[in-house]
Amino acid sequence: MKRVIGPVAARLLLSCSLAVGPWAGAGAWAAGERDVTVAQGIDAEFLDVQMTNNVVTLIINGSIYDTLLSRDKQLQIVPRLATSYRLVSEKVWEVKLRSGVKFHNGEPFDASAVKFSFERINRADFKSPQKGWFATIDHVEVVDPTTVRFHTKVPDPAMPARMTLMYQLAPKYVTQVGDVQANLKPVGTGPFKFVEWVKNDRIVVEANDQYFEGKPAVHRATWRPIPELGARIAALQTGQADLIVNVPPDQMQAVASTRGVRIEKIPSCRIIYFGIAQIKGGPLADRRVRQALNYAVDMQGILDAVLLGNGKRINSAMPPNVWGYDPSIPLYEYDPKKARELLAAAGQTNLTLTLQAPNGRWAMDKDIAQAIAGQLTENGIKTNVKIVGEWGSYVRSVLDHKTEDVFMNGWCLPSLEPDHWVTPNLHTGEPVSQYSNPEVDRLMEQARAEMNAEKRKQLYAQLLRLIHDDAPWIFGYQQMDIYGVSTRLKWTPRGDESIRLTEIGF
Amino acid sequence: MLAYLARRLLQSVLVLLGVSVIVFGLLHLTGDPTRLLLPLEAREEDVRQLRALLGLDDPLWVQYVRFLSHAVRGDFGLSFKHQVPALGLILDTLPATLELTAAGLGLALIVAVPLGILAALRRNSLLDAICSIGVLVGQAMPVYWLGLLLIMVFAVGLGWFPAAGREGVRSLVLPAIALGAFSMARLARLARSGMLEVLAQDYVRTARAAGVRAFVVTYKYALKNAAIPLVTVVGLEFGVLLGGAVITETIFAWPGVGRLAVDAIFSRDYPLVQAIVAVLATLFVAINLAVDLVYTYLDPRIAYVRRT
Repeated sequence: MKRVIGPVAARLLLSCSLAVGPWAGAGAWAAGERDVTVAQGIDAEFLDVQMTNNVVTLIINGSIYDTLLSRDKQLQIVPRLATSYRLVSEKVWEVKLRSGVKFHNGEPFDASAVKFSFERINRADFKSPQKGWFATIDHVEVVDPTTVRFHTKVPDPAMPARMTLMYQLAPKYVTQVGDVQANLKPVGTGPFKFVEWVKNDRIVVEANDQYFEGKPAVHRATWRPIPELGARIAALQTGQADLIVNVPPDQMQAVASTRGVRIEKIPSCRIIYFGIAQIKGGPLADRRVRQALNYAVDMQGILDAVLLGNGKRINSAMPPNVWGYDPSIPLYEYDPKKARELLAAAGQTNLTLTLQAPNGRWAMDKDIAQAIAGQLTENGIKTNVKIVGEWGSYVRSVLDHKTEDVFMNGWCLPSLEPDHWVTPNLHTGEPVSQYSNPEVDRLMEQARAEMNAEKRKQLYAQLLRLIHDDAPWIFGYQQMDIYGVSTRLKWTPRGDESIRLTEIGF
Repeated sequence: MLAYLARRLLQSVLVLLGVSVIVFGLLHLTGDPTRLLLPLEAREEDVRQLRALLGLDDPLWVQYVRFLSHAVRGDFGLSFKHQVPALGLILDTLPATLELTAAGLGLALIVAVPLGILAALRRNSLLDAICSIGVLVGQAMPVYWLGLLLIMVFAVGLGWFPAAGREGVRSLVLPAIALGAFSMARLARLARSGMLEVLAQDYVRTARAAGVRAFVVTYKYALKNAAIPLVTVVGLEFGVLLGGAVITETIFAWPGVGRLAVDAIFSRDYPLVQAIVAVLATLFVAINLAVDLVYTYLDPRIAYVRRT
């Protein structure tokens, strides 16, 4: 029997190793020299750009579609499909469009496309999450094929910022194939043309040689969703991916030490703050208590220890990436003595609080929350931590105003429009806001409608200083967007969380 | 036989019904999905409008009946998140999961069964000891850890296989090993113990005594009978693997139903979750029914028909 089984098993093993053999030692994966693979955490939700407000999806769609205006590397607004704009009157913006631009299917881009794209979002049966982005616009008027006029309901100085989010769709194409096909086979004017979409596996795009801003250096790009961080980093290390996102601070060293790979990072537009539920009343309604919370936390120390310094403190409600930011507003110094004095003055020497945070939503979120709570407790404010692991429940608690006393939150909107930072988070009655201050509200509403840029900037400076002083938050930090990049690529990151294939060189 | 089949089919339908009720209930316990489908700045009226549009305002039993009446016709509604028919989404991604599951199970069978049999034949030898240790490790190792380990060694370290994604046969190897490891261990153990039990039977001893060749004793008499419990377990293992595919698919970025399910659950995508559960439950029930029918061929002693 032994004589029978032995050879059988041996033959089995031999054939197995013969099968594996030829694959061994396969180094680089089949890819052209000018081809790039970008690995993010999730797949695009839609390739119909108007169906999404998700950052990752917008990044991918941004390679296929163009917006009227865009932002350069310094985040300044620059022309794209629109070449210029001017105010005809307080509520009318006239926009000149680039001529000679064609969609990927040959359809010409003109004013009718702009009108179509705007009206599609506002269709009652079209479930677009972008409706709110353009709620101030009443209607679009076609003046001539290269001129449109936006008529707004109220004076809206944020129009240029809104135009950086106006993705243009091809009217004849979309009307002809319908919404479902427009999502599966997208057509835009962008630097890359759609090739294929294998759900949850890859999206492939190819360079648009006729692109009006010049032929891209990248020939073919593949967007891959790799949710598991370890696998994503491994993909970069094996050359399967050339650019990966969201490298955590504690993995930076390991990634950077791999041959053929480097780390790139930039302070993000995304801020992390710790909202204080002031509307609950009680001790939290007292500004001295809220200020004390800020003085009692050594935010820089925590960032250094937990994020290895990969976070930049914020002085008020906006990061430097957003226009309107005022660098002259100071940061809260770590001053436990002052914290105790303020608490004593407010008669709150025995304060107990609960701080809630998610787990895994932002880099080291749970750990930072625990560090903050620990420090507050050390400095006289006994703080418990409640970790709500499931993101859906966490969001619901925030939106329903059913959070604990202090809640961790992150914020960034692709518009980079100042009003979109302060209003949703701090205006009375807003879903995310558990703060109410009539003076802050007034300044917000004033700044929102101020058409003069200089005056508007002054208003925001005033507003931000007031917010700083009234301390509706424990002011946190700007996240650091950390990327892993192949040394094959010439690329540096942007401060708006976006990845532009046109910015990749070799 | 027919009566048995009819009875089993009815039972299957009841099982599926029960599963759908439980999942429906659990889903709705987790809360309102509309908040997750809209941006943070959505106004209350937008939320209310969406709820009405999605039919979430009706009482639970109405929603359930509506779901059921459509489901039996194969219409599971539109996925909240993707806005395409839920069933279509699943049918698109199911092949990937079946491929992975089949590979995992296949690998497990090819490795585990011969190993287990060998270990039984050479009981208390070095091979047997190694097999036992292997079984212990295989059952103790979490899929998650094994998956990352495989990536680290075979993808990053040796460069033999890709770290993630589904492109070609090469990309199937690591996920199949990670997924199949637990089954491998379990099947090896069962093969060994089944074989040992059979080898101790009287008829085997009789056959040997009668001078039947060792080869024939092993394969014709012993193995066939040892295979019976294995067949049952394979059916169950299939279900286990379908579930384990969720983790494996996430680690290896394998575009299957598992990942779809996780994503759907976190976004409270009710129609999609219900559809996935319905499809997978049906698959599982069908396979186990098939396994039970195969059983009767393997072992004529087992009859589902009352003999007069």
